[in-house]
Amino acid sequence: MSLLSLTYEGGAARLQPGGRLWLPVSGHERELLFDTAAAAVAGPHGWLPGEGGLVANLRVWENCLLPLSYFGRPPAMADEALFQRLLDGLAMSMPDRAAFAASPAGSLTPRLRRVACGLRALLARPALLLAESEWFGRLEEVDALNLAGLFAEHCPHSAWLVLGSRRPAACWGFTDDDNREAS
Amino acid sequence: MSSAGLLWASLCGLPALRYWPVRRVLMKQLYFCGIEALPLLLFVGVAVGGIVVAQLHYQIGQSGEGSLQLLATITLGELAPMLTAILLTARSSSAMASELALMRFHGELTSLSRMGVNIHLYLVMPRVLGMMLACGVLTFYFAAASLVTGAIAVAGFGWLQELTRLSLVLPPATLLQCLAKGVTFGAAIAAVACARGLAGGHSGTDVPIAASSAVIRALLTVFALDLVFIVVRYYA
Repeated sequence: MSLLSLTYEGGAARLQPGGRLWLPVSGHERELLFDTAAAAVAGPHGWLPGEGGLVANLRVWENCLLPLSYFGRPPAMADEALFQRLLDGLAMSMPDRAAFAASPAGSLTPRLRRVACGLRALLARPALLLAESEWFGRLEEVDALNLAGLFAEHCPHSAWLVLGSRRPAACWGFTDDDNREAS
Repeated sequence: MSSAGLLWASLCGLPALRYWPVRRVLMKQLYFCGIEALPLLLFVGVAVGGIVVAQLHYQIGQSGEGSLQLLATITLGELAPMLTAILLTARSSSAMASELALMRFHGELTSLSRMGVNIHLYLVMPRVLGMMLACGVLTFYFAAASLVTGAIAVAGFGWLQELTRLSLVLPPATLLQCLAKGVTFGAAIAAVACARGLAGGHSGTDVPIAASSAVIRALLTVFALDLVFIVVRYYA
């Protein structure tokens, strides 16, 4: 059963649960496709933009828990434990992780902002992950490998819709055959 | 969406208070619009009580009891809700509009939508509800500060007896009207501020434009609503 069906270049592109779909679109068409996908599947969704993406006046931990707690229950100890496990997976030291979690999102460096977007998506365990291809391109190699491992472990059933000029690397599970299978 | 549309959507969206993040925004709003604004409101309330009683008692020669009754009628009927609304408009509506306009400018509204979060339920409804509650309660505190000051000015240490006597002659409709005005003005201020903030463009210059436009429109709306209250009360 397909999770999402999009019209692309006159044809239908379908995305299965756990599937990968990368489409080389940009500009207004990309915004439209993202909006269509977000509206077609009930939330929470993971959102991984090339730039920004966090609510600036919330702290990192509030941002990370926002989609999870908006669609589910209030944050509990289990969520905090999961957040700590995810930070373990990023190999972040204890002082660094405390400062990172308590920082207002507006004060983060671009690198940490992209990592925080990844953590937010991981905590929500969404059925659908929407990502701009720039998010993958701008991740540092070590962060990319760590996050890819965490997504494979914690969100194995999430479907990925990536829009942008560059196909994500193979470590994210994207292969040349994905789009052929999805279409 | 227009201010009236946002207000209606907010009232219809009250069940969203069951979501923890929405309640958290409401609490922050109550703190910002209510608790942080309290010292300012109390100061102006004390000043207004003193000024009005001084004018009535010492300048016009009205009796102490008469001055206090007039102060109560004027304060509860007009001054408390209007001045509270004006002060909250100056203080909070520009902040609210510029915050939302900045969020729009930085793409945070798009981010929330992409995650499936309803912007109106998460951002607008708690702000409107918070401002309604804050404005209603602050109107009451403003009136109380004003009346206590007036009672002290006319009766000195016998201020408590003066206030007790006043409470016996004040019609309950006056209190209800004061509360209704406070809540209505608060809802209007927040709805206008949110509408202006969300209607901004994607340029940095739209942020101050949204802020100033929110203040002007909120003030006009408050005065228009006050006129409606008067028409309904005295002519309907």
